[in-house]
Amino acid sequence: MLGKFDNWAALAAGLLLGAIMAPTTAVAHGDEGDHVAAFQDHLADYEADVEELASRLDELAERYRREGKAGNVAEFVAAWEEVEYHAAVEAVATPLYPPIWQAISGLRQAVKDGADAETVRARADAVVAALREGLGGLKLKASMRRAGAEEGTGDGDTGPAAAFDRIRDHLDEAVAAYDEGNTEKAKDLVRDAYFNNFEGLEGELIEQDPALVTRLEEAFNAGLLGRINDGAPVGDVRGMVESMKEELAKAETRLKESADSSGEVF
Amino acid sequence: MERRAFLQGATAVGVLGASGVVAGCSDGGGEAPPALSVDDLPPLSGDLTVYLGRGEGGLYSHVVDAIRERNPDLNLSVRRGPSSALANTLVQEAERGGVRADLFWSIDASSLGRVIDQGLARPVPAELRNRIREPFRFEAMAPVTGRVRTVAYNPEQVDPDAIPDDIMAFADADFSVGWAPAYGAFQSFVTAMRVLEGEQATLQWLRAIKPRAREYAGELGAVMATAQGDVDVSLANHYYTLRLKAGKPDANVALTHTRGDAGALVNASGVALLDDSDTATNFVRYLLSREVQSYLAEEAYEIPLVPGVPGPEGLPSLDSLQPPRIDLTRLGDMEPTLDLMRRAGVL
Repeated sequence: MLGKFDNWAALAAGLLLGAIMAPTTAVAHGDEGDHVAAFQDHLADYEADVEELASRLDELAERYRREGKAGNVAEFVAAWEEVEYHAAVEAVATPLYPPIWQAISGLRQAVKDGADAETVRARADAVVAALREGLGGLKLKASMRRAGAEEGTGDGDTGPAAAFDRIRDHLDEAVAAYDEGNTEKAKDLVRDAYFNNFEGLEGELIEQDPALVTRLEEAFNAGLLGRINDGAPVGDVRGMVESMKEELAKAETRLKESADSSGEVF
Repeated sequence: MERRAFLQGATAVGVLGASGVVAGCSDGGGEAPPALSVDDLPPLSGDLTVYLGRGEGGLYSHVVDAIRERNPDLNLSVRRGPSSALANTLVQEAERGGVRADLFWSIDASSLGRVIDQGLARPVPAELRNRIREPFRFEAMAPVTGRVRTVAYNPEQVDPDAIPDDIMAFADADFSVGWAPAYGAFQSFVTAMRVLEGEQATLQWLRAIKPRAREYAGELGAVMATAQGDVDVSLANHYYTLRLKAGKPDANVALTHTRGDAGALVNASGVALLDDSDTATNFVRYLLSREVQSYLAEEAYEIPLVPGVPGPEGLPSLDSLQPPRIDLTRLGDMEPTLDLMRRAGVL
């Protein structure tokens, strides 16, 4: 039952991650730097940037607790704008860029309002979480680029068949990542399969087979992610994916039948 | 209250009409004429680059493909992606010397608002604008189809007469609510509330609902949960309930609407013209043709915004709804909304 899912909140947060299929674009603030064009080769640098920024935030929150005042948030902002990670997340994982600024805005406001130390710590942690979310987006995008699976925004096939293919590929890659111990990547791939691909199909599928939609919703969100979160044996995760692929095949057939019987535009 | 029960056994086919109660940037121009057939439109030719917001299960792509097939002399390039990402791309292209698209078809007005705010959209020619129903006529965007915010409720758990017709009064109700705060449509709804009611009232509303709310990843999930009785009501766009009822006519869910507030917001997909070419303008005429509007109403349950085209089955006419007066392009101002939602602990 949908309502009995425990992971909806986490999945909702994953929406932004699912949206990182945005085309790689130029940054809005100044030159992006050569590293952005080959961002997949600079992940370690970006990770170091994020950890440096996280360390600054930790110091800021700790000083606020100790001295009743914060370090200068503006100094943190200057540091954030300076790092290479900034340009990369803005250009490559664009949908994950505004939440970072929004989190910083929340921190700035808390400090300005003289909020208690716990609140400032929570706001600082929210900035760190947003930074790490952006880093996760870059990593996912990099893995897709390496695999040649980066979604085009050209004029290729973007119909349901292509979406089903992407879902199956993502699920297979998720099993492989999980088998290699990369749980976060596995979860990112499952979320991307759901939010950026399956969710666009289920509106039409619900008309054809509501029970099938319910089963797949549960499989994506409670079944598969639940198993990964619980650290289930890889055989269980693989078995779950194989079961989902059978259901996806039924869904694809249903939608094809529906498309065959639907009207033409003209 | 008949309006509350129209989905229970309803077979009503909405015949859309100008309500006179929705407002945008209407500039008058009189009653729109009946939609034209594509047979009445000029053939398209030359180069055209369209940025197409991905959505509606690929149905917009079907429309674009059909227009291409019908116009062999049209050299059409299409870039697809999430509407918000394409809006960002256009802004960035402009900052780097000029946009590369002639036309942007977005699934939501908020992404168009971002492009319009940057001054990238050309005025919609008056003759074209006046083919769209009042009051969906805007200076810088041509709405294509609409979708209305609704209250989906489980009639076995909630007496429809107990559901307020004022969205702000939901704060004082006692039923459980399903919502999808991370969803763009929900955030546009909250933005409309913020614009209409103010930040403080919106913040209080969010905080009042939150303890009784269950969060879902998407609005279809929230509507399905309503049908299953996991929540009493859910806040969602209309087509999720219509689609669920189409697939499962006995689903325990029905629709009702609030009146004149954000809970009855009619949002729209739409087009921003990025150059003044006849090809771009005439492409929009195809989108507003009787055939395309009918196709999107029948296949995507979207609300036609030109006269003479029946709305989706199961939805009352716009005449009987009371959407709020709001400039849809203001829905692009999302950051204060996200800040409010975060302050309320909803995001």
